[in-house]
Amino acid sequence: MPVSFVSCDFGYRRGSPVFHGLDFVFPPGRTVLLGPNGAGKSTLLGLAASLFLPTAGSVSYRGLDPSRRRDRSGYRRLVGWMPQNIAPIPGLTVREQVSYAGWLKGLSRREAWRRAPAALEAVELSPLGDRRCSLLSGGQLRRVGLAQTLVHDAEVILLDEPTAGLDPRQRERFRQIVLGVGEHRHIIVSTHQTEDLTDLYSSVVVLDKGTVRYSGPTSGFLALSQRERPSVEDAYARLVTGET
Amino acid sequence: MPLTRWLRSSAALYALPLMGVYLMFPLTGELPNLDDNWPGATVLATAATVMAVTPVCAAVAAWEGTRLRQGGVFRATGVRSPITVLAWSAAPVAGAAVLGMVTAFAVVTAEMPGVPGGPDLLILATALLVMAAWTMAGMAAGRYLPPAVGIPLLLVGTWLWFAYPSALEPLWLRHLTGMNLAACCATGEVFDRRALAAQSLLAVSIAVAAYLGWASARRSATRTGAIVLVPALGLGLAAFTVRDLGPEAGRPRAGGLVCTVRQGIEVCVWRERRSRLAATAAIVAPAAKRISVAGGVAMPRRITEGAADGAGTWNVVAGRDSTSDDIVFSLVTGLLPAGPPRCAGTGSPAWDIAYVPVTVWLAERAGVSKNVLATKAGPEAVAVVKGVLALPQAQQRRWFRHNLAALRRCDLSPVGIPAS
Repeated sequence: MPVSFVSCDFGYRRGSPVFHGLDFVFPPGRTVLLGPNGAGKSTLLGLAASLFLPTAGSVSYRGLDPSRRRDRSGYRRLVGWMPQNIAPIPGLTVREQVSYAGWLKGLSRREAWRRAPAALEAVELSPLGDRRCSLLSGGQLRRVGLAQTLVHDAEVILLDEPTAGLDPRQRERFRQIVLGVGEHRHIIVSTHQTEDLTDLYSSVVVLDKGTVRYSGPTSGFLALSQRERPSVEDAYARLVTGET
Repeated sequence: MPLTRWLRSSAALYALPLMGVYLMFPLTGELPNLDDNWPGATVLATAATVMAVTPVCAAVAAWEGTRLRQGGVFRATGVRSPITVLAWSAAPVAGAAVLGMVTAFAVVTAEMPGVPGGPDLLILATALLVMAAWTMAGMAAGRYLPPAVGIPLLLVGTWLWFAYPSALEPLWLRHLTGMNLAACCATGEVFDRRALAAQSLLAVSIAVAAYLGWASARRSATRTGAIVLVPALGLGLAAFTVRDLGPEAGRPRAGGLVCTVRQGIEVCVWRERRSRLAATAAIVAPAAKRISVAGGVAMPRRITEGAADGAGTWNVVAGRDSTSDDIVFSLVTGLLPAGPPRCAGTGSPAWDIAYVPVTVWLAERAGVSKNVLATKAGPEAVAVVKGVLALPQAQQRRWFRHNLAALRRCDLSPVGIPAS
């Protein structure tokens, strides 16, 4: 089972709690996380990535709880996280940056360097391996970010708004890549883009105001739409705003 | 990632030429003053490196910290500990610092042929600690400050910290920085360990505060308090440690003499000058005899570069570039009072009038050539003494003994010397 949340509380220092008593398990396979702005999607992924630790309750994967210091490294090795903004490390080439990310995730320098080409191959960036990251386009940088989660062979990959700001062609390319790398991994993608959702994801999670409104198969989600031709937008609107 | 690739991407590589060029300024400027002893050489090499290289290291480290922040490394949920990430990023900076230190020692070592011993490891370790602390401070600053602020702040701030305290009061301030240029050591001195302890204390406290800032951006009163208090405490303890030190950090050396006996006098020089012992003895033993006869003072039992009482033991300096005239002249000045007496309200007029002529007269009688005396004391003093030398021996001796007494007392006026 992918990442699970048990009685999880979390809030930022100066805000109201984002989650209170959250009990939830991400479905296996490829999951899309939907929700309006401020629903807590990035926070949920941040908790799953162990970027944040819950103030109460626990997050776990394969019995490893990142709140426990002894489990944290093991957990982080298994869970890869790509934030919304992928920033190049000044001075590093694409292969060097991916390799450095692998080293940060516990690979030896040599091993990270050896594995980087395969990760770049998976995201179709092999020809740009020796280019400075700072010279890449936004779409290419997102693929570098994805390669950084692949280089250490993460079992769970968390992608926070990976296609935000990309043009339609880049979005399509990124979706195809996600499809390719997600065969044997759990992939959780937070997004506002709902097109082709049914082709890409096996499960849908809808989050609103820190509460999971829906978690289940894509087909079940679409069934919430009461239109003649079920649409993601309609199902989403019914769950989040009660509109029809 | 291969090490070469990591080095290529580090700003330290590009800062190396700047470090190298700047290092040569303090180093070559102070080389002529280098005495023939390894503590002095170590102080010169380390102080020049601390002065020239550390600010660049701190600035480069600030850039490295910025670089990691810009690249999202602190939000990458990695498994490497903060100290490992820091060490890996600071390694090229540390490498550049070590290279600077090695270069400085290479230059200094070339000036030390045949001098026994080697670098003072405690002085060296302290300098490395100071450099490491400021590098860590740079890394931590880079994590939080924008590069346009952090890099110049570290570059200029650390430079000012190293350059200016030696010109400021209180005097103990200069012993905290780790930039010990001109603080020590002639061959007859050792570095006061209190200064090294103070510098280490402050460096460790800076490093601890920097690490606390580096390790986590999470704000907590305890962490913020520690980041402020640890260096403040370090500064306080360090200042307390060196509160009694004067402008320099050297103190008289206790051991390390080699001796020989010449004409019944034991002559001792520092062991670094062992090769010049026989020559020095051959110069000072007859000179002492001439001084004794001319001034009517008792012959010394011992002439030494170490501690001397001016009665049974006389002091001499046989430096690396000393000529025989220089050595005899040092024997003369070692025999005379080291400074004027403290005379209430009147200053020390006798000293101002008589010291130079008395020195010149005694040096002339000890065998120092007139040309050297004119160079050392000026032609006016030599002219005054010329008149004294024309007097009968007994009268010269009376002149000397009276004026020597005048140098030591407040109630006695010099004789036979026109006030200038």
